[in-house]
Amino acid sequence: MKHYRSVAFAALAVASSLSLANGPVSYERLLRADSEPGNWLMYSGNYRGHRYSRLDQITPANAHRLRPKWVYQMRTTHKVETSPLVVDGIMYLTRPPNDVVALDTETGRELWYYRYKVPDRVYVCCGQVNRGLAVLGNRLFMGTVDAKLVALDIRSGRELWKTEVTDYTQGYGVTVAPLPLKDKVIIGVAGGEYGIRGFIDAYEAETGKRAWRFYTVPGPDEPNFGTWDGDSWKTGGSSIWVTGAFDPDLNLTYWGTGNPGPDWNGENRRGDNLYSDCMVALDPDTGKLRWYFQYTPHDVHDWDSVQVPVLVDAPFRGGQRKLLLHANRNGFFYVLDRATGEFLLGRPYVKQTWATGLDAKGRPVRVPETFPTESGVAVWPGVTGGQNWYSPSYSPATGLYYVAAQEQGNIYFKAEATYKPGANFTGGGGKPIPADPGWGAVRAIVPETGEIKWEHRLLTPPWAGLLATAGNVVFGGTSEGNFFALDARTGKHLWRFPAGGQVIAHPISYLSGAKQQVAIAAGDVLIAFALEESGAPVTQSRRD
Amino acid sequence: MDALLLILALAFGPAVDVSGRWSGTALVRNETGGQVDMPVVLILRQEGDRVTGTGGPDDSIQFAIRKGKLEGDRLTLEAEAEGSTYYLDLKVEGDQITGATRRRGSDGSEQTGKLTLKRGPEKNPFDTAADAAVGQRYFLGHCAHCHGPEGEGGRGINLTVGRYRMGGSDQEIFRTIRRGIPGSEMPGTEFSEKETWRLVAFVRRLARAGAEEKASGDPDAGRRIYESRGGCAQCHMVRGSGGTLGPDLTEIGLRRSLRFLEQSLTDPGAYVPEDYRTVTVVTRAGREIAGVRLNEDDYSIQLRDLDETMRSFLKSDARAVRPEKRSLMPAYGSTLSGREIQDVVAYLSSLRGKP
Repeated sequence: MKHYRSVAFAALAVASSLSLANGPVSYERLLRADSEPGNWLMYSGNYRGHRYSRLDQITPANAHRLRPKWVYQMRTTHKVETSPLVVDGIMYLTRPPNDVVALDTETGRELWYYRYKVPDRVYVCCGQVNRGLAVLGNRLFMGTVDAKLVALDIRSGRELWKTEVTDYTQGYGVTVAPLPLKDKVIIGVAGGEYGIRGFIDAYEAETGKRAWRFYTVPGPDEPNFGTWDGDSWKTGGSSIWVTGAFDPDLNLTYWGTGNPGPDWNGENRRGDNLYSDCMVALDPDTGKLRWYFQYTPHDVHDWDSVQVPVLVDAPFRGGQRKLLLHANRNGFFYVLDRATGEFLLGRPYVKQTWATGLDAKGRPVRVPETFPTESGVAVWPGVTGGQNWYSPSYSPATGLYYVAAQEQGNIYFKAEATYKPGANFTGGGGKPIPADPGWGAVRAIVPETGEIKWEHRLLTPPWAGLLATAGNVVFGGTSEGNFFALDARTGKHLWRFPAGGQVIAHPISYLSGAKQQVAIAAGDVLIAFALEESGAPVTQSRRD
Repeated sequence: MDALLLILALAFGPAVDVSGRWSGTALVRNETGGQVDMPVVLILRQEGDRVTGTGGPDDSIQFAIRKGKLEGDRLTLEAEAEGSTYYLDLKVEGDQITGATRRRGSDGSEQTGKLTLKRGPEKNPFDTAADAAVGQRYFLGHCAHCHGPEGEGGRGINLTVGRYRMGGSDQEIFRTIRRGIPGSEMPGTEFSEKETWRLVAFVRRLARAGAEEKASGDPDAGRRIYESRGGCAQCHMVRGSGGTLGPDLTEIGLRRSLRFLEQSLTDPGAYVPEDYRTVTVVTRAGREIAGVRLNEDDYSIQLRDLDETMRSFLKSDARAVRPEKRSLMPAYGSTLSGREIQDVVAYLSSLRGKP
């Protein structure tokens, strides 16, 4: 506690001057992100993908006193999926598609605004979204829906450089929040519904020059090229659209890859279709593949495996192991050894009907009747999966992995797919099962066994990520626009706020002054919550 | 009008008709100096020398043509889309249109390209029995959920009637399947051109089968029962008069088959539309309030009660919230005779939108 309090006071001092009082956000600061709980320095809060806040002011005992402190109106019709960053009293976030804004965390007032011109037509399947920024040194980094990578000066929002990642008119875009790593920035490309050939890129933070590229679909003469039929590798998809994780001790960066293309028709891409629906572990200095694990070989259900990998060091069956936890869109919760990629555990966390189980190596034993047909076949989980892109959370305090689960099936159908650059290349789709409107749940999973310790049921499938905190609170959101808090130990419902717009974003937590805030985007606004102080309005200025 | 111009107009005016669908590509220069092919679809309607219609990258994304003029074989079009103005200067030669396209962005940017379009198929090019059989498979997978396995209607309109709000030509049905009906529950689809045409082939046959059965009852007698003894208008609206508890029936004859209508009268719980689900809230004091569910989230529920009053309850204040399978509508099997039911069915079937 003592330590956090001193951090809190440092942050208070910062809030009154609104500058980078602690200096630039060096790689060393990023490595020690957990020791700066007053800040939120990267997409998942730390390199291990935890989306966990070490702040403990908000607790199950006082969460009912949470009130909105300020609201930032984005005035956009695009979906807001952004996860903001907070550095020393200033919040940085993207306004979709690709504007960037700096806000004072105490008042929600704008400090600067960066406008990005998006072409009339871009090629993103599911909305012109952006999931967030990266910070490194005095710079912010953002990928754009027209497949550029932009660096901004964090002090002014001035554009420093802009690099073309690839030709967006061929169906590519960047929606993922970049991962800052050493002197580089790592991103990947979206476009899994447009017959792209996916890749992960690293760029020099200083110059914007590309350092390496790893294709998530191997080319001729590369290992595993044989897992694709004929020319199908050229349109094999395997996009990257959610931020990966990093283990500095093993010097490995982990990224989940997207579905093979075309999504629902696998006729012309027989084989396992590597490295679609995989976890890949890369050397961040060279981009070389160290290991991979494929969750759904030859996927025909659009089960991208981009969900944030959660890195945990924990006892596992008698020994301390370096684990990677991952609740996959295909309905199974997986535990891998993150040094080697060895499969350790796999267990369904939602209803699934497509596999009779996983074999000793983690390969699913398929039910053949669940492959999409022209007239359609009902399969669980549905197209959007047991969970989708939004973040899980891991609490070192409870040792539990939290996931917002979707309980829903779909009727999957197959159709013809002809590749045309920039055109949809999906070969089918999914639609609702009339008698199964679906529902949702926040579930707490015990990593060692995959057992569900508790669940909090939701009326409909959720699209919001979770945040656990050291105060033993888990925050989440609903599709009807409620933002809520649960007890991290028991799942007991503590508090909720009707935000009036669907929550399709992740919560973060940070200090403004010395007070813990929790921020979430709902609809097209961002709301910052703080504890109401007894007898005093929450808006009382600290700077008077 | 100058005599020469009149002769020219007579000579060229009627000779060229650009009405219809045109599809092809625009070869445009992109920002980096390379050239890319962009798909283009124009849907044109010609009246004299005036040309109206829409244009866009495909059938599902179309923008209104602001100005369009045909002079001889020269066709000029102007359209506004997503912050840019497009100027097309084209030459019409039979079933082909070629020419130049220019885009001016609101930010002052400019882009030019070459356009080549061919007259899109007006008539369904995939219209054999075999095509329709394939179309039927797609239909069962994608459309039957709302339109019924035999096209008899349900959540979607009855397709056996052969009346389509968005137009009934092959081309119009094609477009409706492709882009859906904005503002309605009918979604767009992602079928390829060929697949869509095959669906058109099947949908057309549904109507041709004229399967449209003839109601056996007397619609006038049915109307009288509807308005008096049946008490239907208490809950249902027809052309602006009636209650709001049940669905509006102004177009019900377009949407439902005779069989469906009859079942709705005798067994209303068999199908309750999504927006009219019955729910009962039991208050702490034990009072039961039944109504039509208007909205719901994890914490609260809103309903229209039997007096048509809109009410909202916190779930934490309720002893129970019971979603129910039954409909709030009474079953008429015991209060009306078989003959009377057929009369009401005939009346309902005659309700086909505003007169």
